[in-house]
This record gives sequence, C-alpha cells and structure tokens, in this order.
Amino acid sequence: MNAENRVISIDNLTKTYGKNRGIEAVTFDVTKGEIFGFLGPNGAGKSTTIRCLLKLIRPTGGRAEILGHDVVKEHREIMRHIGYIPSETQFYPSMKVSEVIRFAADVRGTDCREEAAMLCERLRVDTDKRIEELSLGNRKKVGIVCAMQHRPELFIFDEPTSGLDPLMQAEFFGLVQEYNAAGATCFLSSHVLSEVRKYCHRAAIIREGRLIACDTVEHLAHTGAKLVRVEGTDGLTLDGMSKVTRKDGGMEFVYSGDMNALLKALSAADVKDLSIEEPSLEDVFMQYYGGAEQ
Amino acid sequence: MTLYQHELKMNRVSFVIWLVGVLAMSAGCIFLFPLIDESMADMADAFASMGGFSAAFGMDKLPITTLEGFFGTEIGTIFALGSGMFAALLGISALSKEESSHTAEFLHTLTLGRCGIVTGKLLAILTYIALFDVIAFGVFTGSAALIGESLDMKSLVGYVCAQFIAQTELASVCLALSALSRKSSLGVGLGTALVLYVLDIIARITEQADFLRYFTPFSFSNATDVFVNKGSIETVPLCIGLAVTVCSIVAAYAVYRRRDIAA
Repeated sequence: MNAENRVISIDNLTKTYGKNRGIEAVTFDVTKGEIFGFLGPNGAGKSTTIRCLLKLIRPTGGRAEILGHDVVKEHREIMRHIGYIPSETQFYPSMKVSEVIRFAADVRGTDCREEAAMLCERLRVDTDKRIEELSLGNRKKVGIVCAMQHRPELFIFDEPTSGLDPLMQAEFFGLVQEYNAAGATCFLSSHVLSEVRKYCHRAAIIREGRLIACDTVEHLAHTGAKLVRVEGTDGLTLDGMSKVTRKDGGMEFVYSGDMNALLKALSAADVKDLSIEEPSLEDVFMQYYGGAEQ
Repeated sequence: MTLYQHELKMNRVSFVIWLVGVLAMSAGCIFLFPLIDESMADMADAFASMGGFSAAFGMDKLPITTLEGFFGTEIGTIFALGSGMFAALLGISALSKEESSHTAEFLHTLTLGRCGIVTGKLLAILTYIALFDVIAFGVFTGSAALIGESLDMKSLVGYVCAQFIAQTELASVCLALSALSRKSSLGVGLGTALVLYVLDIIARITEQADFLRYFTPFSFSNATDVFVNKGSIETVPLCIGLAVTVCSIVAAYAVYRRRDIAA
C-alpha cells in the first residue's frame, strides 16, 4: 500500500491496564477515501483502539500515525483534521445546543455556521434547547454536528448510530457517504453488522484485544467457509464444522474443512434436501466469535 | 482563549454566590463595628490577654477596639476562609470535573491539547481570584467609609495582595490534585483549605508548632500580621508559598499531559 494513501496506520498498538488486557499488537491501515468498519462485541477493544488514536489514553506499546503524524507526539495537529463522535456523547448540561456547536467551531478557529446550519436542518437538531433537556439520541445528533461541521479529512466514529432512530441512522450514513464522496475517510466502530456490510468498503474484526481479520467486506464474507443446511440427517460429524444446530432430523452448520470429506459424508447419509451457501457477514462474524465463546 | 471564556462562563454562578456570601458577611461585620466598638472597650485588655486564644486570632497584636484590629481578628478570618475555600473549589474541580461529568472526550478531541486545557482553566481561575480580591478591596474601603472610618491603605493593599498569593497557592495545590483525580472531589478541596487554616491556628497557639506556619498560606496572608507590619508580608513563608504554587502548577501540567483520560 502506498504510504501516502494511509490515513490511519496502526503498528503493533498495545494498551494494557496493569495486568488487565486492553488491546494487544493491533496492526492495520485505513486508506484515504474509504469507509472502514471496525467490528467487535462489547469489550473487544474497539473503543480502546480509538481512544489510543485520539490520545485519550497512551499506548503501552507499538505506534500509530494519522495523516502521517504520530498520535502521541502530534496530537493537536491531528485533531485539526479529525471529526470524532464518542459512543456516549455528553456535553455541558447547562449550555444550549447552539452554544456547544459554536464552542466546538470557535476552539477550532473556523467559521462553520453554514455547514452547521445544514447539518442541524438535516438531522433535525433543535439548537435552542439546553443539553440537559436532550435525549441520548438528540445528544448524539449534536455530537454528529460538532464532528462534521468543520468538514474534516477523517471521521472517527465510535458506535455512531447507537441511540439514533432508523430514519436518523439513514440520514447519518447519507451524510457519511456524501462527505466520503467529497474525499473524506471514515473509520467507524460498530457491532451492527448490517451497517458495516451496507456502507463499509473494508473492515477489521477484533476479538479479546487482538485483531483477527482485516479485509474488504466482500472478502470477509468469502472466507472459504460455507453455510450448510441438511434435511434428513442430523448425525454428521466432521472436522471444520462450527456453529452446529440440529433440529427436526436436520442440521445446519458452518463448514470450513475439506470439501471432499463433506461430500463423502453427505453421500453416505440419507439426505432429503441440501443447500450449501456463502455465509453472510453475520455468519462470518459469529464464526470468528464462536471460537471464543466455545 | 475560547476555553478561557468558556471556563469563566461555567464558573460564573459559583463565583457570584461565593463573592456575595463572603463579602456580605465581611461588610456586615464592618457595619457592626460602631455598635460593638464602645461595648468592647472595657474588654479589649481581656481579649488581648487570653493567651493562645488571643494569639490564634491576632488579638494580642492589634487592639480589637480599632477598626484595623477588628478587621484583623474578625473580617480577616471570614475573608481568608471564604475566599480560600472558593479558590480551593475552583482548583479541585477544574480538571477532574470534565471526567466526572463525562465531557472530557468532547473537550480533549477538539484542538486544545492537554497543555492548552490546563492553561485555559488556570487563567480562568486566576481571573476569578483576582476579581474576587479587587471587588473585596472595594467593599472593604467602601464599607469603612460608610461608617466614617478608614483602613490604612498601604496595609489593606498588602493584605489583599497577600490574600491573592495565598488563594493562588491553594488553587494551584488543588489544581494539581485535580489533575490526578478522575472524580470532582469538592470535599478534598474544602478539606485542604480547612486543614491549612487549622495548621496556621496551631502554629499561632503553640510555640513548639511554630514551624507549621511555613507550610500554610494562611500564615503569611494573616490580616493582623499584615496590618501590624503596615502591609509588608513575611518573606520566608511567602517565598515558600510561591515555590509551592509554581511546583503545583508544573505538577498539574506534567501529570495531566501523560494521564489516561476516563470515558
């Protein structure tokens, strides 16, 4: 990958909290102009990675660069080019929405009034209300305006749609796609697979602090594993089977073993119906996580 | 500059409440002075010869029947404690309140940087402390004039300056504690101010504990001492106080620059 195209470059990034795990040797890149999904269940290390990138916490090992700047040494320079939405957005309760939005723009020293007005209109943000009067979803919308109004080169979103209703989620991703089309890069963490499948070009999956996959969404869904549904027998036992469910004399499983062995086992069984499909991203995700759960 | 203005705005209500509270009590005492002046005349000698108690409140140095003596013992105590607690609260809540109210992520992901955040907040604290003292100076002189008395101007200026330095020391120590903490511990701030005040009282009562006055800003800023010395401040405790202030501010920057910020 051309180094100039790397917007985020993470190399063996590690964060430990005393003896507790945070993230361990996480390595991946995000390329200019892509929408990159960062998948993982709660506690996997998504927020820890993002918080290291934003220097909210200091990495204990490895390094990361954003737009060619070291995240620890050149934090202020990096923040000029970033729009960030935390998973739980909170502002000063006594301030009005308009004051918070203006404060964020003033700190950056930019006149964002036009963009902020457009964003408030599209996200239906009531700028006269005080923060303490807002629901979680409405606070999130204020966070989106603060993160987008200065038209940054890079968006970093930590579970951006939590708290938003489906209409606002669609509006939010509409905005992300528009900024992306205009050249912005987007790095978003999520545990909502449909979001990642629908909007992201590439994705990384993190489990228990370690990166376990990083590829295009298309390739991630084509891991070589197949989703097998069999009617007529529930007694197949093969190496490479996972997520096995048996029901009504049939069975369903994800198969990543030798295909000839599968065909041999199927031909020996009394099969009434059979389907072998590419697994969905959800199935792939569950396969990655299934190992840990089992 | 934006954060500085934001901080001033965020602390405006607290400032007004403390200012009105402390100065109303101080002015009230000044207005009471003519009423108790005559009745205390006979007791002045008794007040001045109550040993440790007299020493604790400076009644052994200035007669309580003069406005300056009364100011040193009564108003000086109220103002030093009130303004000291306000300064301590400003310092202790400055940095930690962002994490305890979960606004830290918002603030830290703007373009301020850790040092910028400490600087903006420190300047706002110093502004409020200075404003507090300037307004207090006006209230002291105005109230004295209203009862037909006057305070020695040089001594009063020295006292207000000493108070500013003492409050800055308290706020700086609490700012350093705030940089360490993720919770806005108002109790720690108030406790710090009260403990340092009690250290000064103990140092005044007991000769063996005289060394304690080097550890508290309430010693060099004591109203009676400053008025007795016509506005000059005892050098050694003052220098120690200034050194503590500088070290606390440096510690606040050093700790806050490296510390992990809670979500």
